[in-house]
Amino acid sequence: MSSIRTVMEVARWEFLRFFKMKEQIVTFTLIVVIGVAVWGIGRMTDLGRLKSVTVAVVAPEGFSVETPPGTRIRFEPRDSASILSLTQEVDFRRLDGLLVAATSDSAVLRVGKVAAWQSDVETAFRAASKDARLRRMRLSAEEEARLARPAAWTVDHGNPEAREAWRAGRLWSVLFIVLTLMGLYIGNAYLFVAITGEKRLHVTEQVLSAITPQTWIDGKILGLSGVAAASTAIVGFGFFAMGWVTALLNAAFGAGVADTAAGSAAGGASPGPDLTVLLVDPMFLLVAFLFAVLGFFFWFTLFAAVASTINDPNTSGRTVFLFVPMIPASICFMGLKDPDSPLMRMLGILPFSSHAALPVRLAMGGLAPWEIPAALAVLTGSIWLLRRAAGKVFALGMLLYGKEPRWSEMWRWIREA
Amino acid sequence: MPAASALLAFGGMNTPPLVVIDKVVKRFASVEAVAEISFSVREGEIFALLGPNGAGKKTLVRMLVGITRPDSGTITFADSLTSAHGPDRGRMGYLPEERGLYLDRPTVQTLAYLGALRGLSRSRAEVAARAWLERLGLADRSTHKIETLSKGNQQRVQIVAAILHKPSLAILDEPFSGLDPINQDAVVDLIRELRSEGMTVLLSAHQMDLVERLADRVLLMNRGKELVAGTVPDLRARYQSAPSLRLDVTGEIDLGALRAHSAIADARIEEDGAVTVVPRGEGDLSAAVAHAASLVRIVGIHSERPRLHDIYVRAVRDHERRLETGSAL
Repeated sequence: MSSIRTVMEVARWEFLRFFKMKEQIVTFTLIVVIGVAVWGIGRMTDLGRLKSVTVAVVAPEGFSVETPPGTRIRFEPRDSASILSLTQEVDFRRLDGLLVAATSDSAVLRVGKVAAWQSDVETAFRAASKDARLRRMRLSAEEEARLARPAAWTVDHGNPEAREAWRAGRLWSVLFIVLTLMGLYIGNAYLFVAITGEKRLHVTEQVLSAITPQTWIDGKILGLSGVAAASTAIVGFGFFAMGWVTALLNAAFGAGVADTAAGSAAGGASPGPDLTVLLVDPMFLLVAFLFAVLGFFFWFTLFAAVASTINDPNTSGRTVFLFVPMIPASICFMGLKDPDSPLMRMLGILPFSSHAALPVRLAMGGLAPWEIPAALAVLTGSIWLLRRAAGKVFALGMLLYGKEPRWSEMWRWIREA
Repeated sequence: MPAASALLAFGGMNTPPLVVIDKVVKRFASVEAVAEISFSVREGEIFALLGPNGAGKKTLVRMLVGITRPDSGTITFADSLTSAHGPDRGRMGYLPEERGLYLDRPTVQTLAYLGALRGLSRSRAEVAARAWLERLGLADRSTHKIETLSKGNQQRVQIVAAILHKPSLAILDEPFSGLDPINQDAVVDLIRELRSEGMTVLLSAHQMDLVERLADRVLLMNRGKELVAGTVPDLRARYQSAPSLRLDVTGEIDLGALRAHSAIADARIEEDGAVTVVPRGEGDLSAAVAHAASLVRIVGIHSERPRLHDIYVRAVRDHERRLETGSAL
């Protein structure tokens, strides 16, 4: 049997061993159900917000506070003589709030508890205070109107779709980093389970008498990359399905006060970026997919070698390696603010981070044409070198039982290879 | 110490060697696990590696299947076992001492996978796996997870995994361990069937009576060194020409006094109270009986051919004694 055929045989075995369609369907369904539940909770919160709030107002004569638009705050003017009794009413929660304005420039809001509507009261008071000051200046109606008119402000992107595309790119970048990180965790977890499990089940000698360690590790990485890619895709589709369902719910029952990101992601009824801009961009899809898969290969190769040296995953300190991919992903999140910064440019080329940083730069930044082939060359070259080193560590690690080899020992194996 | 070429003269089998091991050495830190071992395994024979724990059998087997490499010496496979890239792993089968199967996977799929790793196409591997499960009476459990099978059946499935692809050479490390006597007999029959189908079998085992029934030739090792090799009759001739005597006695016997006689090589008291006496040679039988009779009342005498077990124990003890005195170095 040729080596490639054997690698594919191992890959198929590993994929079928860990990819359980039933579990994936459950995951998909759970995501949608959780989305609907979150939507429902959001709606309930919105309904809570829409409950009318009564605030008693004690203010100088001629000063009044208007109800802000879009709120259910009801201001009730009261006499200053009733302040004491009103305060008691607030303390006993029979009244939501008491606004005491000693002058038009100064007020105290007495409340029984902290609530979201209190900022709306503050906004309303400040607006009333501003009006009162303008009135004292005795401006003409024309002058008042001129002062109230906001200055005109326009950003010209040249292309009218550029702003939406940038926002969509940002959203896609976040989704991409999250999904890639999720894929890495899924694959790494399976790698740890597969490799330490095979050591525990003593299947190592049986397999290594039939195929070379390099063939075995290659097949494992290929198969588990497939599991990670498929699982991530299903989770991704789950999020989209969640978005569509919540968008449909919004359409049926009306959008709530709080817009949901999922609804925006699906391009549903609620306002948000039009993701179809990137969905149909074949370059983004191709580069994102290519770098995600290569990123899986890179990290899984490293993890397979580390996992082969672990004797007991329950007690080994090396399981902390599972969290290492968090580092480049976190840096990429920080880099979203400025995807063209020198740091993001560097991360786009380095092999441990290019799988996340380069597609982000493609979606949001000004990627130079040479960066994609350069990053691709660095990443594939690193995978090749790492694969050879990992194969050697894997070959020796899989046959070791008992004490875990020291890092210096593993480095010696690699050098001897 | 017999070299590989000398070994080929043993046994009267004329088939060509399938594997020739020549002065193979393997060290782990300061321990010499295998020390210049040489032997050959011929086509179609059952060859047994014997030795106590730590003798170096496992290390030797792992070198044979390519898991580790010798520090020096050579392992040469016949053309039928080699490909352009070296030993053809698809023509070899291996049952490791440390058993292991994918317990969470269906039996037939696991066997088909291991068969495919040995070079069978997936469809052929599955057909072969189903045929073997039928033969073992496990056809109705083929889609069940391996963890649901009994330990004995798991062991048999493990053996099938080593021979599913019909290898030319099957290397079976402790194939009888963990099996009850009925399953041990079943494995003996299976190995005989494999040989009758043309398969060469190299096995290492501790069950001397089973090896005696099966093996065409044996190699006895201790502390990484070869002690003796040949057919079982050869070993009998070399180590113990006279049959042992089983004496039914009344009363207690002084074993020290019994062993002190020059005609007696060894003596021991069996669990049922009988005394086994091993004379030094056929000419010593009468003297051995007379000496025993002088120490205890004998009510029955049975003659027994020396068993491989006795040869094994004696050879190892002799070697240990020589190591202690320095003469084996």
